[in-house]
Amino acid sequence: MAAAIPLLIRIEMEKQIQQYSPSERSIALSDLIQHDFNYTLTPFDEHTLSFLNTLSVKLLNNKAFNRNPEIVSLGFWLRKANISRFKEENQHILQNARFSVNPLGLVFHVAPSNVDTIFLYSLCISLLMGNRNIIRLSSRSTATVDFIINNINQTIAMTEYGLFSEYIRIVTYGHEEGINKYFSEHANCRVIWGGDKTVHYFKSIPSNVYSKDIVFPNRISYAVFKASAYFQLSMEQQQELVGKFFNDAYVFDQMGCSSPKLIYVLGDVEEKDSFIELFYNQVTEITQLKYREQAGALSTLKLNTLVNDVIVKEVQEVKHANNSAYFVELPLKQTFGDSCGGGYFYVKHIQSIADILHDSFQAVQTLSYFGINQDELSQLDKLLLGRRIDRIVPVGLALSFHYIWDGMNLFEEFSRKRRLE
Amino acid sequence: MEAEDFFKYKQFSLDKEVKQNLLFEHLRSLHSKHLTNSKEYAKICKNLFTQPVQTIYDLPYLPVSVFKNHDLKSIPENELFKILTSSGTTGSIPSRIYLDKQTALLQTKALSNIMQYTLGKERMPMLIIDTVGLIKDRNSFSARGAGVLGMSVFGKSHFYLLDENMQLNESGLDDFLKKHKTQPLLLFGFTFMVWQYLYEQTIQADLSNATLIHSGGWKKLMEKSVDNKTFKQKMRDKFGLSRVFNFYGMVEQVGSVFIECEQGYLHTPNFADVIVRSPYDFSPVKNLQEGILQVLSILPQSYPGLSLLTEDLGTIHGEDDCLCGRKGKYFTISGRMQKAELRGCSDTFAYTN
Repeated sequence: MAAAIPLLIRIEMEKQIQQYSPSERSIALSDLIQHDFNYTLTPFDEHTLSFLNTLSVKLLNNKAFNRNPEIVSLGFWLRKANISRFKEENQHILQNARFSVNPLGLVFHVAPSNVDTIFLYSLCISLLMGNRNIIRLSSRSTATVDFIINNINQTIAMTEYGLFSEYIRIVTYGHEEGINKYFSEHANCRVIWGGDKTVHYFKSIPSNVYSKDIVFPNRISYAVFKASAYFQLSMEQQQELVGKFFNDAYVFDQMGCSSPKLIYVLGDVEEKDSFIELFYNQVTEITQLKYREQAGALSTLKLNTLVNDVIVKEVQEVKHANNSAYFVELPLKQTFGDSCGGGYFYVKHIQSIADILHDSFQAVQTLSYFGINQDELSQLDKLLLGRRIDRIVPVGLALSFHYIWDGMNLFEEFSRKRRLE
Repeated sequence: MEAEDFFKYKQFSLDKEVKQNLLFEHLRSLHSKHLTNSKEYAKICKNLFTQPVQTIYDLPYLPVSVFKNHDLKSIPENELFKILTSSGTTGSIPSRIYLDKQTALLQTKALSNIMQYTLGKERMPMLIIDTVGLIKDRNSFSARGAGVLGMSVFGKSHFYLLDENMQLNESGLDDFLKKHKTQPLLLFGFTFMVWQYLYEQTIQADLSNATLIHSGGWKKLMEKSVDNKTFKQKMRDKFGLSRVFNFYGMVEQVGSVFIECEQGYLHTPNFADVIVRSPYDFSPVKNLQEGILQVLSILPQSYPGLSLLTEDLGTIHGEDDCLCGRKGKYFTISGRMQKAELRGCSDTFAYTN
């Protein structure tokens, strides 16, 4: 049998890489594949729900980490009650007399390095559908990643969850094309998180003809505030909202795919001006408390971007009283690229919700909103027919992961249907 | 006062009252000149620096990176004399600096004024710690080549320590040292080159009669935990070399260099100044506080580079009262700002090749 395998592939399969989960050790690539694997977990298997719930308890019980907002969101997301709700919501794709739902098989995930927890959502949804998973983490391990991995390993080490050691393989390796090719050849699905470059790179590597790709290219996100609704809030309510906006924008240095980079202000000119004045001061206040050091370190980056913008764009008004928040007001028609992050916001004035259609919507992921009523939301939804905004959520939820992400129901994406007639 | 008039005074001689008045008056008129002649400069000032210019602190400061992304000049095409480009770090876009004849002349004059203060008027035999290959091909000058060439006018009988293949020319060095045994010598090189090709080699030489001038970034040496103090100490221990002077300058303000004195401080010449600003809101900080360094100079007449915000962190230690006797502000550099780019989702795997 071995003679039939070309030499180069044989070298790759014998290659050792570093494994983080289910245990820290080096492992041969071929040991991660196992073609004759006997799948036993069904979609939303009770055993998987129980495993994830145990992991959740561990994550939330740790005193050092249970105030970390990323860990808290993740912990709650993994709870049995929450997952059962997802199951409930997805009955239409899970239960049907005409088809049965099956795992894809072996899923190869390439995780992003800037958002520590996203690989776990990717992994868990895939796991819930009964897939085996290889997750490639970049070597840049943070305390949060380390903490998550330790807890996964501890959970798998419990006798009742030993089975999961075959389903969760977290590994790391450098830019080794041979390894990427090997996994691409043997996986039934590739999940490529992160930017355009990574997506292009993996698309250039041929995968097995029976495998599918789920890709997450560069995205940008916006926020919209209705000025008049904002003025109706009490001081406390405004501060609470500013706190939510702060989390949306600043938690990943404004570099998460769903962190807002453009703010639309809905209202007349006067309302717009007073809103910007007030909101800028409030954002400044909270960033001075919570983002001062980081803002200082990024100050020349933001000044560089601002000077560039002033030269190449039609900039109407600039607010930069301190370096923790820059508001750069642009005319509605002005196109803009990505912002440099770190608290650098473009601002545009709109007089009706339909005005946002002036901007390009090819890569918009999330629009977070405040003060927009149901009628306006459904009007907007209709106007956006065929254009791409993949999420419209209230301010404060921009970073909350949902199984419907980037326009896909990931439970569906991570499974296959067998037609029964 | 015209820019040339600054050179009538002996270098490092002006008291702060006199200097600050002369300097501010000239910088302000230079600012107005560039406002009229560079539409980019005018745009930046109009949007970002709205306060009236009443003191030197009110002058707009451009980030140095603006010369990488835009062609900023205040002269018509026919007055263009030369374009300077920086090498930058590997992979980065170089700055492009547009010079007319006047600015180029001012730069040369300024540099020689400053160097002569430390080196004297007599030109010394010069050992250049770099490769002779740098200047062999005059058509493809690197920034390092331009720096070496600019400094070489302050010495004579030049000898390059490395051959074209970056190999140590030991026999050549022996000959050079024998030949000039009784004379004071001038050594010049970029800081990391001096460390790597002079200090870290097996060379044993008595350089107690030499003056070493060195410049360039500290990044590579910081990786080896070598700071300025260690650098000096090691040079003294190994070669008996005690006159070691670093200087700080950049292609965006060529000629306007800040040279280290015997006390270990960098000094502002008569025609230039530094301000240290807070990273939090860019307001000027007090002496002895660290912040982002802003450099000001009267030399950039042909491009709006009179006042620049660098990405270096520094501290001003005082003005006019340095024990070395030089007048002007004296300061130190302590590092660089965080890498000027944030990692996005697009950094997933860092497949950038």
